[in-house]
Amino acid sequence: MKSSAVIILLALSSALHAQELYVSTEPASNMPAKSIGLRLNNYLMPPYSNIGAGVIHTNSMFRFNPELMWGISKNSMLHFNFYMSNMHQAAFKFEGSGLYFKYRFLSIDNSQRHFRMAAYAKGALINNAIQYNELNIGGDNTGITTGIIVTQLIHKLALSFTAGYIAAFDNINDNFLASQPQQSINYSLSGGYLLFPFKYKNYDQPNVNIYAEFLGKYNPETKEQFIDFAPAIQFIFKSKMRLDIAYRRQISGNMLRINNQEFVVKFEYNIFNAYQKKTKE
Amino acid sequence: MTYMKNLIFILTLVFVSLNTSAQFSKAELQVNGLTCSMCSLATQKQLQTLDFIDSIGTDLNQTIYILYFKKGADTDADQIRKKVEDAGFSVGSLTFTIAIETMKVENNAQYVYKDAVYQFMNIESQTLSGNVNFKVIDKGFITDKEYKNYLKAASKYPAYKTGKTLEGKRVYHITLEKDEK
Repeated sequence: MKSSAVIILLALSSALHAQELYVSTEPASNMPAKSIGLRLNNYLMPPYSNIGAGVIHTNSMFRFNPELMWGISKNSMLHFNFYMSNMHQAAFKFEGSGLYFKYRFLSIDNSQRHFRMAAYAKGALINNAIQYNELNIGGDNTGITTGIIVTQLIHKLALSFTAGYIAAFDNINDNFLASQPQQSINYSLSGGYLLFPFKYKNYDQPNVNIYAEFLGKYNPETKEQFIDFAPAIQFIFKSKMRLDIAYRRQISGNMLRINNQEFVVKFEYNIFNAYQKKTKE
Repeated sequence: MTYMKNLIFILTLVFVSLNTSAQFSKAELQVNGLTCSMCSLATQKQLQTLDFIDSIGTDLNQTIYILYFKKGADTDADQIRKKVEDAGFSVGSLTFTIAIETMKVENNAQYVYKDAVYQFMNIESQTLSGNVNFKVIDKGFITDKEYKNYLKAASKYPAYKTGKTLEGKRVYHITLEKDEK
């Protein structure tokens, strides 16, 4: 765990639209065109046991997920993900990588408010054992996921809804059993609020945002479901660095999962106009 | 004095003789769709890549940018709009301040300045002097609601819908804002 703490400290990463810079989901808004961001996602799961389901973890589990983010145009962005963890074995190992693409297809702006809709698709190639029925294209499963995001910003409050479909395929070195589900529906409802500052003075002023997110999945094949509640606090520094701290816990469900709670720490650093020529006379 | 040559009347509606020089000094840009300082910074960084902009002042609370132009620079309103949109937002309003000695203007008259044509809408004929503020009221420079309202009167302004002259030259439709205090 020492090495992971160092990784968190070393981590630098980025952000885009304060109160809708959700910690556990993506907003319908995009990164600025020609910007690049680095996000270091850290997931820590405390020891957990679900005797009935035969799940016993006596040690904490940790996943490190560096994410390189690229604003291709005003409407499209791409994330490159790399996953490493000790979630499926005792040793910390590289698990695989994923590619996330988001396209904003509707944007209605007004003064200090907007309504946006976006579609996303993600694919991942993962080398892990297939042990649980929660399908997760963010490190556990090889597969694809696609969905729609709707986000409404009203001054300091932002609300967002996501609905998506997940199809998992055999992992690189492990195959699905017939009894294991390979499809899932995911949905989320997120709210974010700008707590500080009350009034902006300059770009160096730290911003503090708070979030409440509900995240659910339903597996139609096995009729399993869960709903998690994930509150989060977020600090934005120098208008380009972001530190997120979240806690996620299941509030209802019957799904065979790796854990029912998780701590999330994300560090993000944004470079706006990363490769845009600055024309000077 | 080169401004003089550029600022010539092109249609036959009214003849305007310009024994004056004009200078685009600055613009007030209000950006819509954002509240956070990170979004504001992303927008500012986009605007900073424009070579005709000298410096930028900011009101983060109202998401207003004051763009100060380089002397004699070739300002391009479409480029300003594109940069705002690239940041992920949209223009709420764009008002240029132009310093002129004396200039007689008529409604619906077109004026050429540098590479673009400027056409007055909804103004009284008058003689302008000093610092004059005019607002761009084309699509993409105002809210969609405002645009729809202007579009109702567009039959009088044939280039309003397309934003282009018959020859394909860019026409910005502008209206006067009150003089600077």
